[in-house]
Amino acid sequence: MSAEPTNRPEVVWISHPAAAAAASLAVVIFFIGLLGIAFLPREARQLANLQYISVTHSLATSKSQPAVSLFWAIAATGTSGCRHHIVIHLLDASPGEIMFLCPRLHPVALAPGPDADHVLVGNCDGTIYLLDLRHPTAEPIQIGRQPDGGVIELACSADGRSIVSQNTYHLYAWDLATRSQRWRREDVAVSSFSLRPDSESAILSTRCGELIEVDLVDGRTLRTLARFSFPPLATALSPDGRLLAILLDNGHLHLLDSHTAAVRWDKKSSRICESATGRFLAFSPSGKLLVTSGQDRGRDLTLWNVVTGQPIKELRGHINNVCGAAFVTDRSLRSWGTDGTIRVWNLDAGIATRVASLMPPREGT
Amino acid sequence: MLKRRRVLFLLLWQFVIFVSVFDGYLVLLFRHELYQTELNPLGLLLIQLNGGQVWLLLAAKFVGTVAAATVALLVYGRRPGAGLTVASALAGLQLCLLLFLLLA
Repeated sequence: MSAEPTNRPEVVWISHPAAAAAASLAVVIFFIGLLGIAFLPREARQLANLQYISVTHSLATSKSQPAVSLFWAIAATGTSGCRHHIVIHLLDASPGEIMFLCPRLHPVALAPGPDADHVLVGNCDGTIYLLDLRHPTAEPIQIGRQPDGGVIELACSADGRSIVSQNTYHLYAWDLATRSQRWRREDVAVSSFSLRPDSESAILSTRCGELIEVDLVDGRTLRTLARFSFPPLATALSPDGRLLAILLDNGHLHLLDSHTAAVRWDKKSSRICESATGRFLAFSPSGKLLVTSGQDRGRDLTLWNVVTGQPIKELRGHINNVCGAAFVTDRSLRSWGTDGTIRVWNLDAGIATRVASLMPPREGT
Repeated sequence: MLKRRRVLFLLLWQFVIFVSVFDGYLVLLFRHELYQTELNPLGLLLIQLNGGQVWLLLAAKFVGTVAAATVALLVYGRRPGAGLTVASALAGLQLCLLLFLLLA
């Protein structure tokens, strides 16, 4: 019997660090290659069927109802070009559970309607429709048509009697009951607008940097609220109508008293994305929180404390630019963007708890 | 006996590397949702540092795998008994990881 020489070197070359590292690297690369053979065909199939999808609008009219969303898709191959879709879906729906509405439309704007059962849809030819969510397959009701271009923004007044719409050049107001045009403003180049929840007026921001209040009934200017050196890119009124948040072209985020135009705070922040998709602002239901696009090339969101003007939290998860966000409650937020997803965020944890990916219908269906 | 021990070490060593690469493969496969599903706090930190992307995590995994495999090989080259013990311990941990990845 002899003792086993357990600690005697067996292979001399693996005692050299460079040789051991090279051997380890070679085996790691070998396994990567082996798994790559399994992985690449799947990725290649996705590349062959690549579609660029961007969710531009999403509404949840009530907690109990599914969401209504607008998105566009461009196939990487073929000549079909860009197609716009309006869909009803649950926020954790699989692609097969998405209901496509009004396939003949090319919707480019979406807004809450006069009640939770209706939404407003703006078409690329300038037509505005009212869609009944209780009968989603029924023909939408035409409210009016802007003769000079597609609808880029749309809103319904708090009393449900007026609709305001905007194209690149003009602002329109419509009477919902009579489905007729009330007025049109051609003298102001509107960059964005917000309807007051507490009165029949709207606050317009112009490309000249003015903030004016107009009467919803006749369209006349009631007063000029403020003038800025840079044009406002987006505005939002708090749910009670007292506060107005403004995102300026120079990256400043202002919070004003909407009645006196007194500045509550003014933040110059590199956090706010100035890209076209990042031009949105939204207040929480209590008015205590504000959400804007963030600094990571528009892929993240920033939550602000409305009282102090301090950023509270960054929400990261979108893999491409965020197009918009809306609070569900003060502890929950939905956001959507050019990665084709809608995400529901738990604001306490700062993570997305649900993700819905929208896909266009297959050809021929 | 020596040859059998060498074969055993190589099998365990390759198993450790394979599980690590397979873990990286799953990271790549589920890269769009890993931000919400990653349980490892260090992995989550790397994803956050990378702005929600997984490339930093994958790079760290790659470097870590090569380093661990190199160390195991060096230990085995100098003290085969200790090397086999290290490889066995690593393989045990990797087996637990693999079962978690496949069954969880």
